[in-house]
Amino acid sequence: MVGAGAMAREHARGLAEVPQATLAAVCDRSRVRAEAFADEFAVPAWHTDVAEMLDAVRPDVVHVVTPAPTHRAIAAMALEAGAHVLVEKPICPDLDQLRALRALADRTGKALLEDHNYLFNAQTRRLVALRDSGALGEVRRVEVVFAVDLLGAGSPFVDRGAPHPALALPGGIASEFVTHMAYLALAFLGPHDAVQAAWDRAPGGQPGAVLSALVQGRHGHAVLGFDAACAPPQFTVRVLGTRMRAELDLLEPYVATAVAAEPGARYPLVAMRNALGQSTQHAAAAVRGLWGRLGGRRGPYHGLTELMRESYAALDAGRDPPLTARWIDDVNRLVADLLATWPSS
Amino acid sequence: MRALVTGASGFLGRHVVAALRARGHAVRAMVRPGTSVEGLGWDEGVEVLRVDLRVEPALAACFDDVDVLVHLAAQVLGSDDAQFVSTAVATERLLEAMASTGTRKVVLAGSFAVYDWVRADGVLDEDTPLESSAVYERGGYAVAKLWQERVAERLARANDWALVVLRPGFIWGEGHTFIPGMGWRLGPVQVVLGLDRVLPLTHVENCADAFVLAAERDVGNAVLNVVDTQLPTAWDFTGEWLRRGGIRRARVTLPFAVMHALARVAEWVSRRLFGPRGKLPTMLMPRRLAMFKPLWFSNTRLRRALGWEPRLGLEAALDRSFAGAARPSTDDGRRGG
Ligand SMILES: NC(=O)c1ccc[n+]([C@@H]2O[C@H](COP(=O)([O-])OP(=O)(O)OC[C@H]3O[C@@H](n4cnc5c(N)ncnc54)[C@H](OP(=O)(O)O)[C@@H]3O)[C@@H](O)[C@H]2O)c1
Repeated sequence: MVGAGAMAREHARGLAEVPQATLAAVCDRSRVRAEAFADEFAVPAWHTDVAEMLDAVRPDVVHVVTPAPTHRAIAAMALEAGAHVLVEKPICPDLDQLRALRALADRTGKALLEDHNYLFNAQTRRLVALRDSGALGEVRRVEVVFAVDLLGAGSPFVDRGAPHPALALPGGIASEFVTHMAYLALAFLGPHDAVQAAWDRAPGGQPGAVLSALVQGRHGHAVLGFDAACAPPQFTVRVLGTRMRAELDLLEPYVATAVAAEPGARYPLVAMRNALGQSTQHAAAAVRGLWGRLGGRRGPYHGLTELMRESYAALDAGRDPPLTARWIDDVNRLVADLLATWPSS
Repeated sequence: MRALVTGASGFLGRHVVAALRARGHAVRAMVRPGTSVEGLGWDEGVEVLRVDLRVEPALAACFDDVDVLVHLAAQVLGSDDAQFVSTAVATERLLEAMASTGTRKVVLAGSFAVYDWVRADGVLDEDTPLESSAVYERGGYAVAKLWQERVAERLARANDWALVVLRPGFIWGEGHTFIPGMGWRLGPVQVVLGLDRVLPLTHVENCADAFVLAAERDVGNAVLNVVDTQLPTAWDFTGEWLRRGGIRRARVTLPFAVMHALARVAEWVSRRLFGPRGKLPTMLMPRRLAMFKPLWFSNTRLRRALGWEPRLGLEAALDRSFAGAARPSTDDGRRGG
């Protein structure tokens, strides 16, 4: 594990549930952070230098969970050292660097994975299954909304003492989240053709606090909405098909569906059935959510555990992991096209 | 003497700076870039240094001509990770920088949060065992303060510095009269845990005196708890807090034993239903609840080692702390202790 911050702890918690994985070492520039992490998760070794750790531990897999600007260099070192790598999003700041990293992975024959955790959440899986079963009809439109208050007191995006590195990057605050929105859209839309987008600052001036984007696919559109100053938090994916509309919230465990009327059915009855059905789905999810929390289930990050479970199982068996190179490249192509609309670039 | 004081504009820090100045010491006051120092009444004997300990690349320069570091900076609110970085990692960066300078003494603000309250028995004092691997159940503040002490000890030992760790109980004073150890608010009711349980309080001016004495005196390496001599019960203090603060809320007591039994039942139910993964609401977690268990607190070692006596007794401290107009709404926050 390279990095020992909040997200690395999510990785460690998930890894504990992956039968093929043993967390062998943790590395952080700060010794006390590495040491405390090792203590909390009973990791046998900690280091403060990546090269030294790779040399001493010879890991099979390296998780890169450091600030975004450092991802590429650390991933390259890990690949060179003969490890598969799972990198937190965004994997690279641009496509050229991703291509170079991809070439390196191909040369060493190792997997280069980006964390697309929400793809593996139970709700997302249910929506994908609905699509695959044909119940949605043809997907015409996908709406992904990530609207969360990221600017409150104590937020790293308003911290004047140590400004968040994203604030200096194209995309600003949104650069930390567009990858999630991109893969969620592409999961239902397929590879994109074109992108239009508008950006705005937060009321307090932080760059990239608002993004509204239109993504054109071969058979439909996706609309992406990001806002860093909204409450209550919402992280929804809505898929509008020709036969059904389905919505999920990654922060709440629900999938709510509404179906189109069969030919000859009476509209008011269908509308009522949809309304009652959705209320029931929401209420059941609220109860499930509370129950899950009391039962120690890992909330919105449970997809990360699934991602790791499946990836490790595949790597261990010599199969291709579930996130293919093609998929990761498609997602990053969309991310790059979105960031290319950033006004100052 | 010249002291480098970190967290100088904080609640404790401003009183430590004032007390150091009152004794004629020169102060280099570290405050963060965005923090205002207006209204703190600092004279020309206070040199203001604008530094954020997480990112400042040139920390060694802060120690020029400094005889003693009085390290109070810590983040007491925010995410677990944010607290760890501004508390433990910041301390590591600061002390690693100090290693290349001529400064050889550190006075560190520790905390009662580092003690293992579950194992504390009868009296909580410097011999009470510290938290170990169970600290991660306690939340970010306890973790950060424990590792902050560990870092300071490691670097002090490696560099042969004198390290005095002062561990205050709950620090209170004007603008900071809400003590998390009192209990909880439940709508219109203020629930006080335990009728005759005493609160390990130290008034901020008394506490600041201890830091000045620790900076002045040559006591080698030491760990000393800081609590006042006259300690109120949680019940009485809550009463004063409500009355003097002009807060209209009923005061209700819940015996600690009842709460403890409740927590045990909740734990048993959770285990039965969910196994070891089960989670309890914070106030029912045995390790967090232990902070409310009835104990005595002693300041004998502090008084012996530093010759410290609290300058304000309880009554005077109450008068002083509630002297201003009652502004309960700004002083009902949750803080670490
Ligand atoms: N209050 C209590 O009851 C209590 C009890 C026991 C121990 N303590 C300890 O006493 C010390 C002071 O506490 P307090 O109550 O006075 O808290 P406080 O008012 O929050 O003061 C903390 C100070 O630390 C500074 N700081 C935080 N992060 C920093 C960073 N990254 N770089 C530089 N400075 C940073 C803050 O600077 P800014 O003002 O610029 O933000 C602030 O002045 C802490 O170590 C605390 O753990 C407090």
